[in-house]
Amino acid sequence: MFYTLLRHGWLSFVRAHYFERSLGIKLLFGFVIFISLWYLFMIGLALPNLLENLFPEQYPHEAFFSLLLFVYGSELLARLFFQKVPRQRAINYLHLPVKKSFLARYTLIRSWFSGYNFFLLVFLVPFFMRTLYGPVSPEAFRNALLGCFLLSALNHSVGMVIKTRTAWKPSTLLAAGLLIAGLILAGYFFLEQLMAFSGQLGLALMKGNMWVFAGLVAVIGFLQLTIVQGLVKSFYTLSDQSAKSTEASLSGSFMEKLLAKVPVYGIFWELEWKLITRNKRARNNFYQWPLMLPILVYLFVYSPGEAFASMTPILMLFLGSYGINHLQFAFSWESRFFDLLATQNMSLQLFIRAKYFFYSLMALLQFFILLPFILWLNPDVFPLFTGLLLFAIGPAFCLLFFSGVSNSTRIDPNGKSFFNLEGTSGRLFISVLSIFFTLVPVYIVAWLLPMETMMGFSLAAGVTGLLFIIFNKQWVQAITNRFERTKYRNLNKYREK
Amino acid sequence: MTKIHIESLQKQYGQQIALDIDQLNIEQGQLVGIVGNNGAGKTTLFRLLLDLIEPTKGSVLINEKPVAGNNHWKPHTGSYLDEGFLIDFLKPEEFFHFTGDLYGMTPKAIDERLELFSRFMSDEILGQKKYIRQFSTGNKQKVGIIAAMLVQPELLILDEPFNFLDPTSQILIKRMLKQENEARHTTMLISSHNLNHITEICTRIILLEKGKIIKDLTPESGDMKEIEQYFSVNAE
Repeated sequence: MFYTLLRHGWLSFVRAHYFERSLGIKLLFGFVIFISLWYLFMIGLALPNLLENLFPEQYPHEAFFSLLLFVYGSELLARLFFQKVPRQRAINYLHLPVKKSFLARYTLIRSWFSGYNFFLLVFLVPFFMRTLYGPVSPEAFRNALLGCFLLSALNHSVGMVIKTRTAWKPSTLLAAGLLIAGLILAGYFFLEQLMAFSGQLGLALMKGNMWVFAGLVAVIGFLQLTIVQGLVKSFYTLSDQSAKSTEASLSGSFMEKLLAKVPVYGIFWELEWKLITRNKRARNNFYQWPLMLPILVYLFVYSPGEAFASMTPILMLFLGSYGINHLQFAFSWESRFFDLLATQNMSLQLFIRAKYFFYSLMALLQFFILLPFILWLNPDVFPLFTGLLLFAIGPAFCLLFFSGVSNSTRIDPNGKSFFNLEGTSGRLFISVLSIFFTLVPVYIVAWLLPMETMMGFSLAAGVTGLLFIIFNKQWVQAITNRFERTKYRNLNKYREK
Repeated sequence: MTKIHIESLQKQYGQQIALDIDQLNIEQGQLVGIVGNNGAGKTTLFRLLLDLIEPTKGSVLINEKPVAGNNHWKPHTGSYLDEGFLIDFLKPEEFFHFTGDLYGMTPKAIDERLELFSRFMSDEILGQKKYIRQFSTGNKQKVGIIAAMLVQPELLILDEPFNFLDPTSQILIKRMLKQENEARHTTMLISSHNLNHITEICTRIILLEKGKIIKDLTPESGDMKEIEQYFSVNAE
């Protein structure tokens, strides 16, 4: 039975529709993983030299051990945000004659194979090979590696305990918040002591201190038992759909009412707003854009000056960030109910135009929030920012809509927010990348204009953007026609679950 | 006034013919039941009628104008085939108002019309503070059917409307369909696996097998036994 469940888990991975769809995405995905692991390996090889330079009075492994708590603290944080508890896989077996405790143990064991438990080894093995195996002893190498692996296992256990809790009481959440705040403050005020403790822990692991190893194993064992109990309880929540019914309490917000009042486009704007605020993946996308603001502020505190050409694609990406982020999946966001839209008494052209205006307004809103900072910190870049904003709203958005017509992948807007490959494809990657190349003709025009290059670029980008904005009705119509031509293929693909 | 005319309609997936209808006319006000086993082509027919898939050949005409690539039929057509006809992050009230608004209904008219469905909804749909995705399959089905009927269409297309509904709701929906058909002469196309439901309300029954129409009859003609026999023979 255990083997069967493992096999089903593997099949659900390799038969996931985003893997089936495109060879390009498989290659891209594999390449990104390979490159990431390669970088990690190379960092492991190069870090001893760096640590030698930074902390000349210490051995590299001692310097690393003094940072051990921070490394594993960050790893735990990453797990809390990104690592998935594979309990969802158990839901299809709950009605079968399989004990819940068996499923819980299976889910737990399945989680041991998570990449999070092993990825640091890619870095640690070359690092300890260089700093411990030869310079200290093979035993020290083995002990340190095993000890670090146990720290990963401890993080895994803590993460799983937190994630398998079905509900957190507000008082527990408050206590957890205070604990985290306390730890951060302690880290700030007692940095040296923490580093010293961390160093001692690392050395104890390296020397194979039995008490430290036994303590770690005991804590991990206790937590693993707690996880099994938590998992069994969480299965009841999984099968009880009504447990989610409180989700819809955010009814009729001010924004929804306001958008609904807008003539002609209001009905679609209200729908768009609900789509982005009521679905996990779309919502996360939405809440990311305020995070872009500090980056933008940073970018123009260090004035682009002569090096502006290399910064403009990134700047444009940030200025249109929310729209670009969202519109790269244009039409796929609605894929789950496009059959409805296709049969309703509505104009597709109006629908697309409403979408375009909505995201243009979002980009403008983002810009107006930024404006006081621009004028205060570096007013010289105002023309460049304005030109690139118009360019983002103009040709960049147009290109995204245009490529959106070809992207017929179905996505669940309420799906998970991080590392969700649904809707991505090699074609999508290329089309987003091609936005950068649309700036090339603008550079050429800028160099031809009889004025300073940055001003010429700002002017050329702004005018191009304005032209696209003015003639939006025409290009939206062209996109509508294109969508009508590919409608059957797209709708067919949207229906594929 | 809604008339449907189907001419040499064929839908093929690879080598497999999903639907192949030489000719079919459906007159205004007919309540047509489409029956057939799984894979007979019922949903394919509905999707072709709603211009959701492209015919391999032939055409569907509504009021003598082709459906494919046109929108003339949309203002007076209501339909519900599956969950792809629901916006699952809306609450039912919001969904009904969204649909009604697209068809030019005022909020007041939508609310008045919804009152007619109050028994069918049996206090489980409105005011629940839940998104459609959080409803049971049966209640999702009810939301879809109500949204399709809400706009008082001249042509109503429902795929397996009795599925997932409790017996009371099945009786209520049959009654509502019958009333709507008689009062407004709405042309209706309804598919179902349940012969009893179909024979009870439909004025015409079309039996599909492997994409072809093999029977086209009326319950009054007394040929219903043929259909019952067809299904029982297939089960043996």
